[in-house]
This record gives sequence, structure tokens and C-alpha cells, in this order.
Amino acid sequence: MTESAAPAGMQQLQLLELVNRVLDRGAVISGEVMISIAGVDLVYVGLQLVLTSVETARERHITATGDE
Amino acid sequence: MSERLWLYCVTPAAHPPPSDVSGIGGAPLHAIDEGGLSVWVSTVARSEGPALRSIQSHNRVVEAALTDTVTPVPLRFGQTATEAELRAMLLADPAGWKQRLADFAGALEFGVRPLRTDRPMTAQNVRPPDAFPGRQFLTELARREREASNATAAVHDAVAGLVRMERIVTGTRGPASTSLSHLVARERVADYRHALRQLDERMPDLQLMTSGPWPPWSFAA
Repeated sequence: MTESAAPAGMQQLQLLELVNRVLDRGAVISGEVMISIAGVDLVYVGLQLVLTSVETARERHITATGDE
Repeated sequence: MSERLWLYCVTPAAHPPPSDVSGIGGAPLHAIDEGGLSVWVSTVARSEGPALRSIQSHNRVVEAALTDTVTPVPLRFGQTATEAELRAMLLADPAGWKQRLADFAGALEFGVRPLRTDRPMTAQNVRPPDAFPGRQFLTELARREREASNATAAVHDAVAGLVRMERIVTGTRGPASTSLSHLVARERVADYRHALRQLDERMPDLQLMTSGPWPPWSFAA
């Protein structure tokens, strides 16, 4: 399903994994963190975007092929 | 007025930052030593929000503290303190920080998400027949939850003997409903990756999305 989109998609997902970790994990030492995203799974949000764009690209490709 | 310091990670004492790595906004790094511990910091020039570049800089500094024998305790993005405040924080629980450093030494974090390749679970995607509008949706939901749980157990079993620590976050809805994080000793990394590849081949319906190696972000909190 994601053969053609995998490299770009996976790169985005790695970036989301990074953001998720740096913002939402790691030790809290000062008792006060400027940014909190607890409870929000950024990777889930990102995955939805990636999968949606893959799906859209596929549908467009099918439409384009059908028009030929 | 004391200047504020941006905090990156805790390491054992006498583990100074390399000179060729800079902090957020290009600020030079230095270490504050206290109680047999060291914290990598840079001076905060201005307030830093979660811009992607800042997040990447923060992670890069923590990665620079990783060596074959030292694995730092990563500190969550967005924390600042004066030098006096920081020393007091370290002295509040030096044994706790040292225990975490000992737990992490020589190990790296990896992430695994069993990734569903079918459509997300929404009412639009699972159309119930007119006769039983609610039942099929709930049956399908239960089936998917069972599959996700099976996938998580399969990943857990495949690497159980190879990981030092495991953290599983469940409950998120969508194509990657579960996230597993593993702390793996460097000498086990090749075996760990091999075990996941074998599992991936055994489960054609489920794609495993892997990430890492990371500093042990998921085990530091």
C-alpha cells in the first residue's frame, strides 16, 4: 500500500516520533515545563495525515489512470 | 539577576559536552557539576518555543552525551533554571539520578508501533447493515482491539529476553493504537532488530513501524 510513499512517509513519522519524545517524555527536573502535550499522541495525528495523503495520492492516481 | 540556563540532560560527573556541538539558538554548551552529577546546559538568550529546529537541537545535544558507556538521562524540552536552582534540584535526589544513570548505562531506546494498514475505525468506515445498526460496529471494534492487543503481545514476546526495560502506551485510537518503547543494551541491538524483522515476516497483515536508536526518553520520566 505504501510502496511509493514509504520513504517520505517514514521520514515524517520518524520526525513525529522525535517530537513526541522530546516534548512529552524525558525527565522533569524543575517541576515546571514550558510545554506540555500530555495526553495528545502526536504520532497518531501525524499518521492520520500521512495515511490520508497516501490514500488521496492513490485515489488521484486511479482517477488519472481511469481518464486515460 | 542570575541568567537562566536551558537544561538538556543529566550525566555522570566529568562528562563535559564536546566543543563542536552547540545548543538551542547556537548557544555554547557547558556543564554544571553537583553531587557527583553533571547537567548539560546553555544560556537562554530569549524564550524558546517548540519550533522544530529547537526540538531537534535539544535532541542533538542529548545524543551528543551518548557514548559506549554513558547514557544520559534526557530532560524534557522546555525547562530552565538559574545555576543555584539547578544545584538545589540535583542535591534534592542525587541517588535517584545516579540509579537512573546506572540503569541506562550502555543502552539505547528503540520504538515499535504495530501499524494497522486498513482504514481507521470510524462509523463511516464500518457500515452496519440496516437490521443491526449497532452490533456489527461493536463486533468490528472488539475484533480490532483484540488484534491490536495480540500484536502488542507478539512484539513483547519476540523481544522479551533482549530488552532491559519496556514501556507500553496503549489506548490511542487510530492506525497505530499502541506504542512500545524498549531499552536495549548495545550488545543486544543486532539480535533485537533481527527478532523484530522475523516477527514482521511472520505477521504479513501487520506492519511494524520501528524507530531509534534514541536516548532513553521514554524511561526517564
